[in-house]
Amino acid sequence: MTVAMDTVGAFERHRTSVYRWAYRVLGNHHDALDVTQDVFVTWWRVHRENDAPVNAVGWLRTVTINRAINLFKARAKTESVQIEPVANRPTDSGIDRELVAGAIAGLPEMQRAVLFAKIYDGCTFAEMAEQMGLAVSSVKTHYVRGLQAVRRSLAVAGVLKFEVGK
Amino acid sequence: MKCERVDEMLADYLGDELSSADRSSVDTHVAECTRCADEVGSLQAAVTALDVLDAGTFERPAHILPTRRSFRRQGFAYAATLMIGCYMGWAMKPTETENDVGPGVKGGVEIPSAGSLDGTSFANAKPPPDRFRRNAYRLIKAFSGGR
Repeated sequence: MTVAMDTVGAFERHRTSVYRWAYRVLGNHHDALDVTQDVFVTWWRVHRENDAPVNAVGWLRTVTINRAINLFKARAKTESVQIEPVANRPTDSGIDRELVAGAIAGLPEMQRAVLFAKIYDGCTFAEMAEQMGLAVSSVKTHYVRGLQAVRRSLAVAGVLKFEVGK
Repeated sequence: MKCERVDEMLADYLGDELSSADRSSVDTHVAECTRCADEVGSLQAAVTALDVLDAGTFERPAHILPTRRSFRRQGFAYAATLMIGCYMGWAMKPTETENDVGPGVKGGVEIPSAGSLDGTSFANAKPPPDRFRRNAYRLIKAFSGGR
């Protein structure tokens, strides 16, 4: 199979997932489309000289989330996104997406990828271990540590009750 | 069950991958242990917070085609809109009286006014002469139970 065909095949199979991962971080249709395009261009550049990765989904998820997080950070910087004071934030519907996306942006890459795969894609720990080439116990550790880090960020921002020093 | 065992099972518990027996064992322990209740409860709150970014806020990309079901629904909606449009055009047309042709009669054919669209008088009325209005009339009549 040629590289072009391989890229087209990957695009057809995974474009919706890539778009969804990007959209979850960015919350914006056009930014998510930009990231989707960027990810598949990167796929083509990387794999025109090397073989396609054994696990395409894991590769695409990691690259997509990283690109989306970078764009999110750049956008936050240029738009000077300010986190509202706790008293002014809506309490019922809760937590705004900027805050959650910011918490995810602060996670190490593997924790981010594991949280996305588990919470948004509904993967089992065994499936993730296979996709990422890790032991199941490592995946579980990344999952719990990722959640603990998100909890810490949200507690610091005052939207989740938890004693940060614990 | 000890707290250490709950810690070991924490990922599976939060990720909903425990058997029901193990899950109820953890639940029993958490109900009695403040430390584990805090840990499990706050991590579950973090999972819930992450749902903010979930599919509820997801908008379908423009390049992804609607499903077959959507097509069927759209087709039905278009047909219904067309029927309603035909009916409105027919019903809102000035009556023959207004046109000084004669009350409800044109070319020897009785035309029901919008106000007479009730039960038998509508079902027994004859179709109007022009083709477009006649077809619309037949369609509406078929749906209203007339022949």
